[in-house]
Amino acid sequence: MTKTITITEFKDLLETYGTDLNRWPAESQDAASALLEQSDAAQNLFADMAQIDQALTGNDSPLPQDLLDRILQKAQKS
Amino acid sequence: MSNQNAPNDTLTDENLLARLKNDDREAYNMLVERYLTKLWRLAVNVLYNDTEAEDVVQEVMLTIWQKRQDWEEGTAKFSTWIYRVTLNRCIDLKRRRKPTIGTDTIEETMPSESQRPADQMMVDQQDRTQIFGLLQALPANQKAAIILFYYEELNVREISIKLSTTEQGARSLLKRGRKALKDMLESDKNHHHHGIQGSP
Repeated sequence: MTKTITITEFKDLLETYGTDLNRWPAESQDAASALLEQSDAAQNLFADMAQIDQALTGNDSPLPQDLLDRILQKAQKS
Repeated sequence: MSNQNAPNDTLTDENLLARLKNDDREAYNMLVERYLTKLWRLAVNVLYNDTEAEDVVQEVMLTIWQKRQDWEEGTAKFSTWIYRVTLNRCIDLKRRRKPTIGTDTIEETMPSESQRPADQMMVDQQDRTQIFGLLQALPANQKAAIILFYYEELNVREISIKLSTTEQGARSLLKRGRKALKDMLESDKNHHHHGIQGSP
C-alpha cells in the first residue's frame, strides 16, 4: 500500500528537512512527491521554502553562457 | 499602460506581461533575463543535472512566450506561477528517472496580475547576501543546526550528536531556524518593497 501524507505533515517535514526530498525520511519521499504533484498548497509551501534553501546554498552550477541566446532564438522562431 | 521607455528594473512582471500580449519581444527578453538565473538555480538544485536543468528552463521560458495570450485573472502571482511550473517540470523529470509514481501532470494555467506586483518571491543576489546576515541573528543552537545541515550536509541524527541533543531536538532546531529565517527575510522584503511601491 502506498503511503500518503497530509498537507500538515508535508509542511512539518518541509520545515524540518527543506526542499531536497532526498534528505527527507525515506518512507515519506514518494508520498511527498505525489502530494507536490497534486496540491497547489504543497507547491506554494515548497516554493516559499525554496527561497531559503536557495539563498543558503549558493553553490549551484553556473548558468550556461549561451542559454539566454538560445531561448530567445527559439522564441523568435516559434 | 505599457511603459515602453521605463528602465528594465522599474517594470513589474505585470507590466511586462501586458506588453507580451502585444507580442512585444523586448518585454519577453526582459522577463527571461529577470528569471533565467533564478530558475536555473532552482532547476539545478532540484535535479542535480545541468543538462536536464537546461532543458527544463528552456521549456518553461518558451512556455511564457507561447502562452502569452493566456494570461488571465487567477490567484497566483507570476513569480509563484513560474516557480511552480519549473518545479513541476523538474519533479516530472525526476519521476521519469524513478518510475514508481503515476504519470498525471499538473494543470498549469496562467495566473492573474498580481495584487502586489513588486512582491518578488524569487531569490536574488540581495537575498543571498541578506540571508547570511539574518543567519547571524538566529539563536546559537538554531544557527548551528542550520549550518550543519546545509554546509556539512549532516542528517538529523548526526546533528543531534554534534549538538548533544535528541533527534527530535535537532528537528525542532532546524524547523525553528528555517521559520525564523523565512520570517525575517519576508519582513525585510516587505520593508524594502514598501518603498518601491510608493514610487510612480
